[in-house]
Amino acid sequence: MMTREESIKIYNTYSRKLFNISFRIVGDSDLAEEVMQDTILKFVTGRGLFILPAGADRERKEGAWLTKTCVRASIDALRKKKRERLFLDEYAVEEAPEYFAPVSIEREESPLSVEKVKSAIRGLPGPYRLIVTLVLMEGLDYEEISELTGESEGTLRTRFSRARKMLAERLGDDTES
Amino acid sequence: MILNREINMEKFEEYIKMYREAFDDKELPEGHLDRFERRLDTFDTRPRRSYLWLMAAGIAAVVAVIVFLRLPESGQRDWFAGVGVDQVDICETYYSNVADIYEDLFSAGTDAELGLLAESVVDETSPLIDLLPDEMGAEEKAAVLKEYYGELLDALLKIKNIK
Repeated sequence: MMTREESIKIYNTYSRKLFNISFRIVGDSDLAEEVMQDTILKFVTGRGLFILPAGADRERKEGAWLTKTCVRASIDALRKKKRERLFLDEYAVEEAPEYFAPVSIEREESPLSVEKVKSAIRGLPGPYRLIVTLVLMEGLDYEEISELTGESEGTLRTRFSRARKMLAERLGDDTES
Repeated sequence: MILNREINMEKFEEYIKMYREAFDDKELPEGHLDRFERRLDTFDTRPRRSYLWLMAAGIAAVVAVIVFLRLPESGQRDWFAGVGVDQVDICETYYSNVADIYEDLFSAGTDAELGLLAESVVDETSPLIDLLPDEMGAEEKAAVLKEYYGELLDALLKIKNIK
């Protein structure tokens, strides 16, 4: 297990990024904080039985491990939440208005910004939002996502393709070539 | 940080990559670091070795019960028929099977010692699902969970049949 100082250092380095990753998936800041802290505690206490060999790319591997673990934990948390509340839509979180409240996409002629892209993504239906988040934001490939969600790569590819079309429509431009 | 309206999807994806960090702008809830430090303190007093020791002791106890009861073979019954590789589904199936056996075990009255024995078999200090290393693949994890919980259920069934 890492020392307290080392643990806090890891926390300060990764907490914001992991919190945002989890928040995009679970849509609830309290739950996202819990998932983020679980992930970091798992790493610093060695509960994941994960030992990184010292080396030049240690930091990169460290970040990749934490990101993937956080994504996995977030998906598990979302599923648990779904079961608890008997949601009909597999990844929808209708009772988490903080993030997933209906978003009206303006189609005025003004240029797009990060805020508009975020709005367009969070306005997607649950499964589409999840695939866009995992592919575009977290940079996971279909094989990794398939392992995390248990869905086939073909299904995921089709869903991502549809999500891209929806995004293009929501952004109100001709991004879909 | 403005995205030109006349872009294609590839450029849109490049844009996200370029401004990736700008999307991580959600502030952490107030007091998060204090909460983390409090949780960290609980781990400081729980060295990993003892944690694993408890798990090993639990598994050893189950093996001892199985040997004691002289189960012919584990896996006589497919407790997880139709259950895929989803770890949570496997656990829920396990808990459901435990509940069914418990209902039979305790409905007609059971020797207190047998009841305690049954409870000791299924009592997990830490759920195995939380202990499996993330480096294992989904199928590998599912196989471990099914084998482990299958043996627990076999033992529990044997205990139930004693009464």
